[in-house]
Amino acid sequence: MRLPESPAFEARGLFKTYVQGKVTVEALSGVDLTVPTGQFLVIAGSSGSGKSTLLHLLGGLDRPDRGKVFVAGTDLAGLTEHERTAIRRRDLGFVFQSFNLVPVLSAYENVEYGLWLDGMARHERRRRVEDALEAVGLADRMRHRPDHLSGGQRQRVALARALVHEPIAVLADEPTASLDSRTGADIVKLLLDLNATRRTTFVFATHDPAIIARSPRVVHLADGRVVDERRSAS
Amino acid sequence: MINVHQTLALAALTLAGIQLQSPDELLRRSDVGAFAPTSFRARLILTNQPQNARHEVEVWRSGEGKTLIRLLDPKDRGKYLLRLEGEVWLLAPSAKKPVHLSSSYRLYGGATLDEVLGIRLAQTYRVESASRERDPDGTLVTLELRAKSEGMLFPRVRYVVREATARPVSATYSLRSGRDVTSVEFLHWNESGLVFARSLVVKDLLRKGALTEVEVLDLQERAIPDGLFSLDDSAARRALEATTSRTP
Amino acid sequence: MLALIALRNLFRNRRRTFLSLGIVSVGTAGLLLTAGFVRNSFDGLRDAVIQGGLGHLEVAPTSDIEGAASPADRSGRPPSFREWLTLRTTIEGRPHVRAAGAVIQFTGVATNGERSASFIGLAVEPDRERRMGMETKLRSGVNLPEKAALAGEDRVLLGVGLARALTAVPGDTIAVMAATPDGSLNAVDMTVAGLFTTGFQELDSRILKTQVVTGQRLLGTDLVNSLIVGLTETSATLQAETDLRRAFAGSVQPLSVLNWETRAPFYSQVRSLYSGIFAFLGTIVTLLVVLSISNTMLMSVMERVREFGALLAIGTSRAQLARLLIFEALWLGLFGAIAGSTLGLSLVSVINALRIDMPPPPGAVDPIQLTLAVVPGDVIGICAFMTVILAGAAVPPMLRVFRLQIVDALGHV
Repeated sequence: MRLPESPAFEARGLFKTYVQGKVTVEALSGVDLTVPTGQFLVIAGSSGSGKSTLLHLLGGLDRPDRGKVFVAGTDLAGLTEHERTAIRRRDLGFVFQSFNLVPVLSAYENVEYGLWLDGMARHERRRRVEDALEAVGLADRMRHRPDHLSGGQRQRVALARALVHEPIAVLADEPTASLDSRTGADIVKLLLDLNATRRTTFVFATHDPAIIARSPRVVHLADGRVVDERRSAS
Repeated sequence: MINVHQTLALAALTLAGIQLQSPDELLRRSDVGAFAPTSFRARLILTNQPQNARHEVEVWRSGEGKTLIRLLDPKDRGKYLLRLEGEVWLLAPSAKKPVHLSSSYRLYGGATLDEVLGIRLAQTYRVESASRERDPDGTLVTLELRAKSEGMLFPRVRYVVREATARPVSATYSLRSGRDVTSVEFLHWNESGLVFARSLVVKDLLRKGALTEVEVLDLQERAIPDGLFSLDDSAARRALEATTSRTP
Repeated sequence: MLALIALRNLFRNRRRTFLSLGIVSVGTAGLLLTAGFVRNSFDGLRDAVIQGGLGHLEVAPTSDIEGAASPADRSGRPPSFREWLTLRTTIEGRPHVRAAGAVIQFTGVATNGERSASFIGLAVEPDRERRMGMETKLRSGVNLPEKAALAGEDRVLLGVGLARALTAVPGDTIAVMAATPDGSLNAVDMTVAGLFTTGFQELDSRILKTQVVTGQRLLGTDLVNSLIVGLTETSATLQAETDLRRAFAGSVQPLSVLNWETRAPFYSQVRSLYSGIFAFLGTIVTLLVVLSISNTMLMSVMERVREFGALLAIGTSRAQLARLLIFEALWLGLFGAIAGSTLGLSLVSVINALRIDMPPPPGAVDPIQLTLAVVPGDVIGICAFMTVILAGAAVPPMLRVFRLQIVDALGHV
């Protein structure tokens, strides 16, 4: 597990505007944020607060209009799309609200996919995939396709996929929104456990109060600005 | 003894005689087709150039409408060309029936029968204009002839005649388009006894270098048996072959 | 793994996939049927040209060949092949040669005494023609005898049109007249043995066929124009041509060897024309298939925008996504081509078994049976072509993917 000396993420003066039809929306207006390596951070806010936009900018899925984003000390601004893709593939993991698994691949193959993209050898891939699925509690379902898994199981597969290549950080955008409260709570517990055991940086975007309450650090966004920040002792 | 006055008078009369000779009269007198007798037998040598191919033929003629040409080359023994009233037929030993040919058939690919045998110009053409010029041998009269009837192969002929002797020097035949296609030059004449062109050159003006030299070895005026011109009965011709094969 | 994903993606929407496969199959079958028709047409035309009298090769004096702008220019030239008898024996001893026969070409006028008609004449050796597999399509009467005719017993075959012009029937005697090489004329009585057709109306009204000895008698020569050579197989033409050229390199009378294709510009022209037509039709069929599949794939991409967004997000490059789409197209092409080949081959069998008559082509006399000739090379080639060309169908969806913005794609509904 790589633990860089630089913070996992650093955002400085981020601005981002979207045009929706004839309306221009200021999604972010001057956001600064630093996420140390190994931290479990929740970005909270209501719908339209800019939390997903911030997540996207941190993950290099989009470019800010103004400001900078650093991932483990690397300035994303100067990178080509090819280099940004490589960073996402190698250093980051993503978990989405609607799982976004490849429906024609089994759980095993979904998790293996990213390692295959990186050109890893087959035997090494096998070891890691089995470990990852074991870690999320799905070792016995690895041959099942997503349509044969429950929502919670699919999200666990997505989590395994995000973790299998030992990224610096995992970005999760409303990962429990599509799950019932109990399943969602299980997922959050899993994430907290993984954070504790692997020291993987987790950055969550959510409006779920239950998750917010359990997070050691919460940054509140409203109208594209950081309006509050809370850290708990744990 | 003829005195000066008589000489002058004779000369004047002679001159007057020449000036009084009309173009039509000159044409009539110089008509090469009229020189040969009505009924005759002749032997001709035809030499086609540029191939320098020499062929011997025998011509039997009776009146205007009947001509039999016997091919005398060893390979062509027994073959005849028969012209009856303008229609031409090939009679070959290996074919029982005569084979009709075009009236413009060229003997051995050279001159046509009309060109070899001569056309009766005075009968078929009229004089349109006449002009005179002098050469070292005297006065040449050029008669521009036009065919009397439509449909003639050669609507125009340019006929050059030596006025003094009324002997044709050349005849140039033109097509409807005005294009000259054939010229005949009369080189030598037999003046003793029967008058006929002893040698002439037929030039194909469309094919450069193509000409036929015609040499008349002999020509005898005589009655020709009608049987020789029969399309259906070849007895007379067989007899002729038999006679000539016995004769060395 | 991309190929595996692509293959599995085909079965996500089975109905759409089967429809696409159906389109590709029909397109493949169409190309196969067209190829079969083209091949049979060309083979048939080639065989008709060769078996129709041209033979595989022709050996003739070089002086006859030179100066002739085309084979048609040579007709009417007097026979000049001197040592043909000896050379025929030599040729028939060479490998791949089935037989060699002398030919004289001449023109003239034929007459029954009342009617005359000009003709194009061919004097041949009937026994050798038969050994070369050349058949004369008789319409009535009998063929020329194989034994050389004696003087006075000459036989002739007339084209049906020429016979009609002369109102001649088998058994009639006609006089055939031709110009001899020295410019003279000759005529020979010939008995009409039979009437035949060349397959072409225009030629049937002019053609006349007799034995070489008769032609020589008519023309007053013992020479011929050329020797026609028939081979055991057409594929050996080039080899035999080279062999004969080498064999005659030092002959006293300079000789040329010509293959059938050189002497049949008509064949090359027809082949070029038909090739152009078939290529045009094939292009249209292919374009329709490609466009149809492209449209289907585009629909499929639109349904998977969020999935593609996620793949891009987790580190898949756009080039890899493009490869995924190409693989999908290639799989469609491969399966569709295989199914189409099976369909096409079945249809070929059915059509050939039905023995359908097609109307005769312009100028021809007899109807042609619809026959399709398919060889393994055609099947493999068309399958490969269809598979590969379908990669082109992936281009529009690829362009769509290249324009995808990850964030928009992730939020796509």
